[in-house]
Amino acid sequence: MPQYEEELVVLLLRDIYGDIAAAVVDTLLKYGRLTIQLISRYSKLPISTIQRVLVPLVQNRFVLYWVDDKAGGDNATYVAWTRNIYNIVRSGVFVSFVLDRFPDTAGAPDIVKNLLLYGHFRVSDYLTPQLPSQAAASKSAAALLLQHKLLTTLRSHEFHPESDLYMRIFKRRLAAIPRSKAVSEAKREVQAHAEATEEFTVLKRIHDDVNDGLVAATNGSSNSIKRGHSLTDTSPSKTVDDSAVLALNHDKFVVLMRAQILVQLVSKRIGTVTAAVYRQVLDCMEPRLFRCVDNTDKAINVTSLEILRNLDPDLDLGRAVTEGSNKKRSRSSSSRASKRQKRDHGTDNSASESDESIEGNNISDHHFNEEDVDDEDDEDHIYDSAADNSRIEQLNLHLSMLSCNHNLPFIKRVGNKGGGEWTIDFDTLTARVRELEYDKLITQKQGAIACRLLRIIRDKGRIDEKQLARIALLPPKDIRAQLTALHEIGCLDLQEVPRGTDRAPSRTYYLWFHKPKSAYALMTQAVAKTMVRCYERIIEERARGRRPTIMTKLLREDVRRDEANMLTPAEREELRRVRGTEERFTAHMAKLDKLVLIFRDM
Amino acid sequence: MPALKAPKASSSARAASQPYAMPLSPPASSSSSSGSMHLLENVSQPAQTMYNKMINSMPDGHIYTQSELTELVGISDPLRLMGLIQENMNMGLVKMLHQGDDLCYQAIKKEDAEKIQSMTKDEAMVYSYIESSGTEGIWTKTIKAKTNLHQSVVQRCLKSLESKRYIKNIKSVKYPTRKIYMLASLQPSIDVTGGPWFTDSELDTEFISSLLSIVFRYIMSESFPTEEDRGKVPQPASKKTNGKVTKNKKKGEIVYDQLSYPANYRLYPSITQIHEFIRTSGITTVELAQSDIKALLDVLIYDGKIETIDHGMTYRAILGATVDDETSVQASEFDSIWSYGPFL
Repeated sequence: MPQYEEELVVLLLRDIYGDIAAAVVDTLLKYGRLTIQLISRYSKLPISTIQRVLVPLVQNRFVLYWVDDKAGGDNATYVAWTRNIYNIVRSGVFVSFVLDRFPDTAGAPDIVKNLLLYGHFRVSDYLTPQLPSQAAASKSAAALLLQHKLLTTLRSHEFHPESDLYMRIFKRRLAAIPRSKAVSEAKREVQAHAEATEEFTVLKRIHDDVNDGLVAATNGSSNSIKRGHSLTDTSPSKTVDDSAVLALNHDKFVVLMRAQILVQLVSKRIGTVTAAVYRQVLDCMEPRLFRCVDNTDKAINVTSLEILRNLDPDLDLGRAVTEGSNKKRSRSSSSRASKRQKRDHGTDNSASESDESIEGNNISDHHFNEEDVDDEDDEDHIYDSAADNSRIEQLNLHLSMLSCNHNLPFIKRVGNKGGGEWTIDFDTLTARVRELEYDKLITQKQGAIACRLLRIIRDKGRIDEKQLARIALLPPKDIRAQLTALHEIGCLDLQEVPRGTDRAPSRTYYLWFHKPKSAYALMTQAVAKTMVRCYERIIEERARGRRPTIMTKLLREDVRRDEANMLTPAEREELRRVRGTEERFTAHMAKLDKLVLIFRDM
Repeated sequence: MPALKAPKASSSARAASQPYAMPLSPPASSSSSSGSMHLLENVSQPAQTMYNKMINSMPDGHIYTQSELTELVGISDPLRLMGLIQENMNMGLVKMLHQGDDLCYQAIKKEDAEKIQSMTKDEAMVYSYIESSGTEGIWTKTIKAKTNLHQSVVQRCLKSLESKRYIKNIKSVKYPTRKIYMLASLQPSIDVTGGPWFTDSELDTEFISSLLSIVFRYIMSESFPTEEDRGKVPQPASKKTNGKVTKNKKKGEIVYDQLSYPANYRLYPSITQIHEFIRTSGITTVELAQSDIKALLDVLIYDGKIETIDHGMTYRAILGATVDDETSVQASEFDSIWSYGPFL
């Protein structure tokens, strides 16, 4: 029930584009697909107004249109695209993201801001009104953003709803398969569906092309530069196609946000150095990651050498990993009763002070490197932090630390060439991230006990109260309250297994279980509802605030230009308070949006 | 006189005791007074010898097959043997059991036989069922079902047996509303009392939580290297702190301060180690088995505080988990959204 999401969407439109736009989209969301006449009838607005208002909505692709082939041009139907309207929430984050990532590219944030305003524009239209110096900067900025796929080109089919596009392809394919007695209708349809899905997938992935929107640069220097361009190259040998139409690519944005979330998780779980390494892995994979769900059919591999090449040379990989003190090793060796060989090393090391407490062991005083002297007898790698040729071994150590945890498989080793081939299984990883995030939410909302119960239920599948109490080591009466609370928020569900033919409650087993998808969906709705409230509050604060005078005073041009002098200290204080509130709520909305991103988009 | 192979009763396959076969000719002196010797005196001399041999030659409770008995007393005539056995059974000194398809015999101590003889028929039946349940105990409803006696009769027998201190009433952990009876001399099994977590049939939550925090602290101390483990490599003269990287970023600089064990580190605590630690630390007088420790570790895993390496071989604490749940929740709330981190 996307009820709250729709409410949020209408609210956003009302705030930014006005009441009429909001009313039109509201009607569309209520009734589904409508023609202009029907919109006018249901919303009680005149047709000319609707036509006027539909323009920015279609431009931004908030509303998609479809013209049926058979009927005339007047019978265009319109559908609201909730997901794209929701992306308005992310616009601020998008801009600051671009600002942080490309700090030296002058034209980049302006392009993004303009795209947010206009929805899409043609490159030539954008460049014409600018001064030549600005235009050059804009061009290179656009080329850079295109290469990173934060911008994409728009094709005409992208203004149509997906379902209609698919039906058109399907019908064409169905017609192409000849009718014959040998092939039944059902089989024809199945085959047509298969072919249509293929073609549709190709159509959807049309922007994955590396040269999307780019053409070869015509200046002479491009001939001497090699064809392949690296991501850090600010003067690419390719430049923007003037006739291309640009739009923001929210799919890629989600990919980048996902990368950031994963890196933060690594830094919390393992450490900052390994997180930097993981950041580099994701960066190397980035050119081949186009969207979060349904990326490409092949797996993406990265080699250690590639990572090493792009890694920051100042990053000290060796210091972060250590084998542990001598004391511990001697304890383990006495339990294993096997002598280990440790090679002597020239480096001074005061860690050997802990040798004292060895109980009756034959291990003599050794100096050993604080780096990774391996435990096992057969593999003894000696690492020297100074030498660079072992840096790849240090890197591999960090990568193996990322891959060794079965609960959180950040990375997986798949081959040996190039110093080691690695891949990331995003599906399992993001599923696990969702679990962790959901656990965190439940802990904050219901408490640690409830989270313990949830984890047990998740692990065991279906389990009844008594077993649960036994495993969790908690008294059954305490548990019951928690379980019902979790049931109410949609986290758990009950299954009845009757023991006899009658359904008497005393003669049935009640098994608790957890369905992730539905639990997340319910939670996302709650988040959407919170966002609606937050946004309403923002609007309220902004529009009226507590003292209407200060806001109306701010509408004056001269005041706005020179706030420091034109406002009294009291007014300035008031303004600061109002702005502070707005910021708080906007920040809160961004946090909620991050949750939505994790559960819905990732 | 029972045949050598009596028809099978409908009891379980293992050596189940039948209800005491009432003596065919109840001796007059059975109800009261008799000291332990009287019973023995009521049987013939060879029966007495056989009985004494059964008691003395093998450890308590040994079950004799027919052939063993033949060997024991040296009487090969099965008819005569049977007669002696029957005499002892009449006095309640020998009990007949099933062992699979065969019949076998068990000697009863004189005191126990006395006890039985002094009870009424019903009481003896009830007592025999309670005895057969061993350390598990038996529910009153089951007794009623098996003996087919009326509820009030059963109640009366139980009351008199309890007053004579032959049986006792215990509280089960699984079914708190049931009345479970067992022999007064026996200790209730772990199943019934619930194990080390239960004190007076109540879950001892404080004990559990203190144990949990101790185990967690121990695992935490073994999971991450301390500064001294890092060892000291002579730093270059520049005052750089450990691997701090200076980046020209507007946002804050990252402090690359990480210290972890490598992926193939094997010295995380295993369950035996933890068990040993708990045992030697003397935190509790209750004896904890490895399975109890495993239960504790599972709870910690379900709390999200530790994780298992190698699918249960060893355990490691999760970085950022704290003993106290409150602080960990607060810590996780501080999730800054404005910084993309310097990891950009």
